[in-house]
Amino acid sequence: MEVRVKLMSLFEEYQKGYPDGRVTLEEGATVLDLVQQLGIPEKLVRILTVNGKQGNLQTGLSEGDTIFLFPPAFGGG
Amino acid sequence: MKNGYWQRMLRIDLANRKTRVEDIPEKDLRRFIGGAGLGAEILRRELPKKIAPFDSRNLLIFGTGPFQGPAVPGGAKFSITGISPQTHTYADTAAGADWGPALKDAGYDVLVIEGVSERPVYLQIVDDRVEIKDATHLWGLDTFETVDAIRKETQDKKLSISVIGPAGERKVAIACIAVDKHSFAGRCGLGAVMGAKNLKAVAVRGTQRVEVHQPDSAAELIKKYRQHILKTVKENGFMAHGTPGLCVTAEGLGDMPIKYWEGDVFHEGAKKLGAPNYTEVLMAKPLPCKYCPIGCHRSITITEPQEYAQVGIGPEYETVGMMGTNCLIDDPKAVAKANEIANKLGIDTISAGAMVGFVMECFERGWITTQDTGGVEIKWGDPKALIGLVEQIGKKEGFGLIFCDGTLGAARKIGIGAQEIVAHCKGLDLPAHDPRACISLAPTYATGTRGACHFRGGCEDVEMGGFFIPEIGITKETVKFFERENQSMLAAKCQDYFALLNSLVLCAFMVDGGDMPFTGVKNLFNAITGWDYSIDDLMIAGDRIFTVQRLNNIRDGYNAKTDELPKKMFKAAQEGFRAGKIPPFKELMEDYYRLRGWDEKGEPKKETLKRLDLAK
Repeated sequence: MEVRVKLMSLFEEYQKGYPDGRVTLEEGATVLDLVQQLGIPEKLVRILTVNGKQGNLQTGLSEGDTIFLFPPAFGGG
Repeated sequence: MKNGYWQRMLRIDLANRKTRVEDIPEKDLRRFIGGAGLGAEILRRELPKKIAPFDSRNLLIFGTGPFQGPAVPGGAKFSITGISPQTHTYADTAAGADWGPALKDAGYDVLVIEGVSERPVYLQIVDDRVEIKDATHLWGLDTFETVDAIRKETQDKKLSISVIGPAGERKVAIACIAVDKHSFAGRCGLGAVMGAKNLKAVAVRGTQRVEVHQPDSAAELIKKYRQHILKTVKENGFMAHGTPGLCVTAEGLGDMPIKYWEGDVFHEGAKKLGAPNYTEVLMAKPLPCKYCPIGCHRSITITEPQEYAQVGIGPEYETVGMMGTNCLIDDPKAVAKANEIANKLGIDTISAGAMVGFVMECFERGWITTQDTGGVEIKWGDPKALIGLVEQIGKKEGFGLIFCDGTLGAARKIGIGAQEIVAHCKGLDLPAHDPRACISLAPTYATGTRGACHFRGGCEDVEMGGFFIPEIGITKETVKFFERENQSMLAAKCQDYFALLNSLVLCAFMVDGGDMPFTGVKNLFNAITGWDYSIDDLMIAGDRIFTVQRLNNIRDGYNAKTDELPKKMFKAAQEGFRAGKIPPFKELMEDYYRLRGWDEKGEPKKETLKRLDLAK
């Protein structure tokens, strides 16, 4: 199946191999599978959305889903 | 004593040009720790109710804590407390650079400024030598020029110097206190209080080292956590990109102010303003305070265009939010220019950005016209309008005059419906975090003892996944976006923890971003003081400090009715991550009051005061 991923802020560098954001995954894949395929360290993925709703690394994905991955937010001083 | 304190308070009466040193009882230090805690307690004990900020009886208290003795990462910090011209009640603000350790090394924990000097003066404190010097020739200099001039005339390059700029001299309500051309005690306008006292600067150097209880153990812990923080910030990008690393995430989650809180999304703008673009375009590098492994401040270089050229200090996330996305401005160089002007004139960049956004909205509504602004159009997204207004506000000139009492004061002068659109709590402009996105900010802002402030809590970073305190049950599982459960608990605990940090005094970025655990803070505190506090003991101290700040607020006329959010926070977004959402404010406040042990008037109940060892 194919999903679309949008890597935000400091995660942008991981999108280089996927310029149009299209990523092919096996059926039944989770966000964790996606994160591993993109090569992003898991512990840096704290906030993510799947089709605009908050999800987590265990959230299951379906054909055509849109996933936003945000790096941890801190330093709002 | 060997507990990280001198137990000495230096008091300087500017009216009579007299100085004296008072003992600080150990009991006070054990209960209020230092910095913002001691400052709050001194203000509670000594000030009559509803004192005006420029009343000669107002105090300006520069406070350190146990962490300013040894070379603690994040310990080059100090707190300033007093009655704020923006909120007319208790306020504390903090800065870094080298000033806190310098006061400590001079042999004092706290410096209290009393009275009003007849003419402009500055203080030079080197150990026991305290001089009140003429500053007539410095009056009018900006914050950078003042530091250079004092270093030159004293021939003492090692002085750390807190100064005000022209804005403080002219008692502009948002005037800040600037330290060593490096760090800024920005919020709440205590620079104007310094100006009202005719005090241009406080220059300090010391040659002593306060003794700590277990020096070897403290040194070991310092080494351990310095390495941990360093590793963390290299990995998570905090060192490379500083606070602007937050922009894109914050905007994506609906946390960033857009169009003075009326806009919903500004993706491209946030991307241009935030890291990594910020870092590249401004050639930004870390600029650490003394002992700091992070270096969150930014040193920047802009070579073109000429009008924005500078080698200086870059804007923080808050400034980028308030002067950038808040005004629909997307050029980091323009924001950097406005930031530079604000820093040199000596005004808070958060409130300055809020004021510009407010004017842009008033202009759009037709409440302000070119007749008011001297022919200048103040339109959304116009960098010239931003830069021009910031300069006028800081100089208290032209159209900027109406802002001398703060945004709320300006709105009263404008009339019509202007007061209704001001985004503030207790008169302090909201910083660059939106309680409609991170709803734990709703009770945090509404009850904030210095007004609306994210950094007297840090709960938004928990919601956005960047900061946890597992020792007190705050983990990534604690809250979910937009859901009421645990949000008020998160708000109250973060307020207490940050009240503690601002009393130690420890830069909050060591824990929020640098990942220094609460256990580490506790162990270091015990190694320095020898007091064997548990996590619970420290949280009770934080609660006590927050509550004393609240008692100051109550004395000055604040209560449950003033625990409110601005109207804009009840208007849901049409698009973006927080579309259709508003905070369940009433419910959150019910939870919050119950957890705090406050009555329906917003006052701590008798049993609450007793629990916190604050009963009369």
